[in-house]
Amino acid sequence: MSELHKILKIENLNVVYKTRRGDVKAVRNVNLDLIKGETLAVMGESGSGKTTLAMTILRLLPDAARVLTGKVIYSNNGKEVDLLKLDDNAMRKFRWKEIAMVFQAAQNAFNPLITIWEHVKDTYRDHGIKVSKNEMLSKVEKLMEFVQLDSKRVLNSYPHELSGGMKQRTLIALALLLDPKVLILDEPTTALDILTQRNILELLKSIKKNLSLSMILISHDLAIAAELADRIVTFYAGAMVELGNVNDIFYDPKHPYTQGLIRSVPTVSKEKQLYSIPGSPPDLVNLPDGCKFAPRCKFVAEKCRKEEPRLDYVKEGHYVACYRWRDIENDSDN
Amino acid sequence: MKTGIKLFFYHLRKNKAGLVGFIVLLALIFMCYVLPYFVPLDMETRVNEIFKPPSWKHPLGTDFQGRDILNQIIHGGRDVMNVAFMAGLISTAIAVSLGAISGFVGGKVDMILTSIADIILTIPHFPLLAVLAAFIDFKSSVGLATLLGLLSWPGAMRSIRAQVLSLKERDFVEAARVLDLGTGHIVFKEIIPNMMNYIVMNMIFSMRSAVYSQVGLIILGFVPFTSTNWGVMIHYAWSRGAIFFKGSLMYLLAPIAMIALFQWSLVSFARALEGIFNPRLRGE
Amino acid sequence: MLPATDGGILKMTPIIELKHIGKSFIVKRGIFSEKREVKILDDVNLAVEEGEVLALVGESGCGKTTTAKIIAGIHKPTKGEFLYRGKNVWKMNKEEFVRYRRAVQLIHQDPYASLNPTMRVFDTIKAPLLRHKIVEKKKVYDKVLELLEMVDLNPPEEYAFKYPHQLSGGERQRVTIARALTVGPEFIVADEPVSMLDVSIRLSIIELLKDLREKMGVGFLFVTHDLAMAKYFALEGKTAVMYLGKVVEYGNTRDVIDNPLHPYTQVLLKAIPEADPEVTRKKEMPKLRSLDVPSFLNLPTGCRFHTRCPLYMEGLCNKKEPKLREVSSTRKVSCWLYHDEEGNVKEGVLKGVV
Repeated sequence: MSELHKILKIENLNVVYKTRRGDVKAVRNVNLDLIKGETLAVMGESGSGKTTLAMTILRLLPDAARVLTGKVIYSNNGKEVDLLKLDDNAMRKFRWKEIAMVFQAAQNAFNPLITIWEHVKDTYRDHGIKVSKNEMLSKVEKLMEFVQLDSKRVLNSYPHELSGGMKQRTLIALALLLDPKVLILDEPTTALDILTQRNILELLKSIKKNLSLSMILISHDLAIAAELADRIVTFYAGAMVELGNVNDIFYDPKHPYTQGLIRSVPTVSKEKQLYSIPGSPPDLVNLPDGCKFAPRCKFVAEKCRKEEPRLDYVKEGHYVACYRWRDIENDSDN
Repeated sequence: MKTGIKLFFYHLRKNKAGLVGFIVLLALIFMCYVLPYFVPLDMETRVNEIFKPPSWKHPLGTDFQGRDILNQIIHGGRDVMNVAFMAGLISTAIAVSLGAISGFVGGKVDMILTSIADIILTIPHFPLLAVLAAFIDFKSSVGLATLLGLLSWPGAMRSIRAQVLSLKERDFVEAARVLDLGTGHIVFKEIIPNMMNYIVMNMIFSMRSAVYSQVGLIILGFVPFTSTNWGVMIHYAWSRGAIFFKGSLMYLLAPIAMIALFQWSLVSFARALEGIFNPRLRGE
Repeated sequence: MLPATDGGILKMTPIIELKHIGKSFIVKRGIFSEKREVKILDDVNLAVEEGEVLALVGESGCGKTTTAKIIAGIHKPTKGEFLYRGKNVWKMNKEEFVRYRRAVQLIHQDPYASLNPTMRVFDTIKAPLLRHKIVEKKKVYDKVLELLEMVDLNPPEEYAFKYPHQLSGGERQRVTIARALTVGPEFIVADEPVSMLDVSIRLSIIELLKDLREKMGVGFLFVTHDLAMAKYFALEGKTAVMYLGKVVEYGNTRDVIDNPLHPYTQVLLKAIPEADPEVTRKKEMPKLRSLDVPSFLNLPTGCRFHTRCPLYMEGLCNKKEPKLREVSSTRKVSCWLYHDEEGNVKEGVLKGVV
């Protein structure tokens, strides 16, 4: 078995937010690798911890957040570095050059008073990169062409003059400016129309194919994960509950939550029986003992409530955090 | 979840300036409304103690008639505060009613009401008040307060109207319309409760401007003096030459300081109120 | 649309009917520019039978929310007639209008904006009960609990005295539904009722709505951009597809979704990503003539979709606007592929089409 190059290794990560009510355990005991060249989808709903995970990697957590334990090891070209141990300056140089991100609803994060070209210049400057104007321009024009934008039109425009889809494509181009090795996308197609969404998906597919990038895709939208992901990790209440390749997750899910998610989303092509998950996600400040999904799980047993299950090996590349996965068949409800 | 009174004190504790403002305001109210019952007004003329500097007997010195200044300070706030509260109340009540009707009903009614507001806004208050003072006898605080209130509502009305216009578009107001809950219910139960912070703040600012107007009128002598109050003290300090004696400066400074303190406590308190009304609206 | 005959039997008057509806808004761009009238809806014709579900689908800005708000009585149509049980709503007398108001209710998209933040759940639900004298004062408490139970907020006593900010998105949406049920509606306009909720909560809300339909015979206008959810909810009903203020296709849901006729519908279904890797990875970007979406301020001539349509016919589509016409007893399309200029169905285009 050849050693796959793991460009990111997250080890034993625990992140909390300090709030008036107590500690919000946002990310719990996460051990996850990103294989070079793959697209890994982090699937989960609000409160699952997926955005916190991304922000931890890029060290963009708010003041109220604390990394209790863990390492985020970036490994490329023989160099290995724990991102959590870098000082602010080093991290600033790191961001965008090695790891870049397209944030959620970032279409609203543009500075409305400056043109896109100014944004490009700012990006270079903020990360301490000094290049000539011509170099910048030629790079940006190439990227604009790649994302199918008319560079002359877009570079001279103000953000409000661009449509939602154009803004999203611009953001992707801006993220690729410094040739990062890892690209993190947080809900890249939310709030976009069907046709614009398809456009962005095709663009991301083309990025997968043509640029040898490793991507982390954060999404609550199962369809997006189904389109782009090589592997998927499902998050619930801040922890990983299942990890596998895209076909395992969609066609042979082992965790009741993953099963529940997939069975609660309708598709257009196939008419299928849908089942909703009862109850609601737990309070991250007062988490119950044992498995956090137990209160909503129809396969719950005594031991589920006592101790939280760890990731169990199902088969090559497929892991699930559930005591009872062997007892549960995929379509046992029928 | 904290609501009502508990929420009030919680936010006061969080906003230090607001807490101090609140305490100062309470202290001033106590001094001006309660203390006078225990400290009788000193009306005695002492000819050989005119403009004496602060001493143990007269902590703030004496005025042009030898009367104790501290005593006058204690008695002097009531009128000012009465007028401020009443004018603020009247102004806000008018502004909220007209602003809500104008914003909610719209159309011709809106046009008429905003035109009236604009006309009153353009009238210079001070000269008008000065002229009116020649004809109207401002014997009581109520009369003056009413007049001040009637002149100052337009500013607040426009901003309240703007708030109503934006609240009108909110989904829950739309739902109330679809449920046919009626204009009265919508204005008083749906819209106004969601503007309370705005309304209270407007009232506090109305009170501030009422204080300035009133004191200004008194200092300039446009309003007859019924009794001693902070404004009257400033007027006499100025017209009777307290500013020329080093020892008697208190006669001028003390009332000014009190007015400034009152104004500051109002504004600070308003800041704390912001916190009380907002988090609920934001769902924290 | 006139009531159709079905084998000689006259069909009942539809409960909701839009006839040649046009809706314009006054728009002012910037402080110094003039006001302009922008036409959002143009000649929209729709009808929903009692107890039926109509899914209204389209991308953002197509006018589906405006249509929903006309049916909910929030917007008054600029042109055309909006009929409730055959009567023009905006020409009704007071009694009839009150009856309409109680019969047609609305569920908003944003559960964080649709409840008054200063009112407890109990007060929110109590208001219409008292206003319309649906129960007497002393029975109000019990009725409120009953309604909360109906929307699966159990135990109801715990939920009744909470403020909206103490509830989750799904719980708030349930309260909104309970509120709509207070007046005993016959028809509910649901404007994207689950698009702002978490994925795992969506289905339970949709199931609740389905339940209401089955148990209480409530009809629905289900507005959404999620074609999969539209298909699921309106499977036994009808679907209308909107583009730039016009209905371009209409028919039984299964037919429209599985066998779309209008090029826009076809393009949407080809493009939509699905939660099934085998299916979705085969999808590609449809070949549109342009990626730019026209705006209402600058509508294309002729057929509004012609600037992007992959089946564009030069000289026809950009010059003449097609009308929504029948291609079969249960299907209507607005496209020159299917009708000639006299309105007759073209030969041979409908092999196997329902």
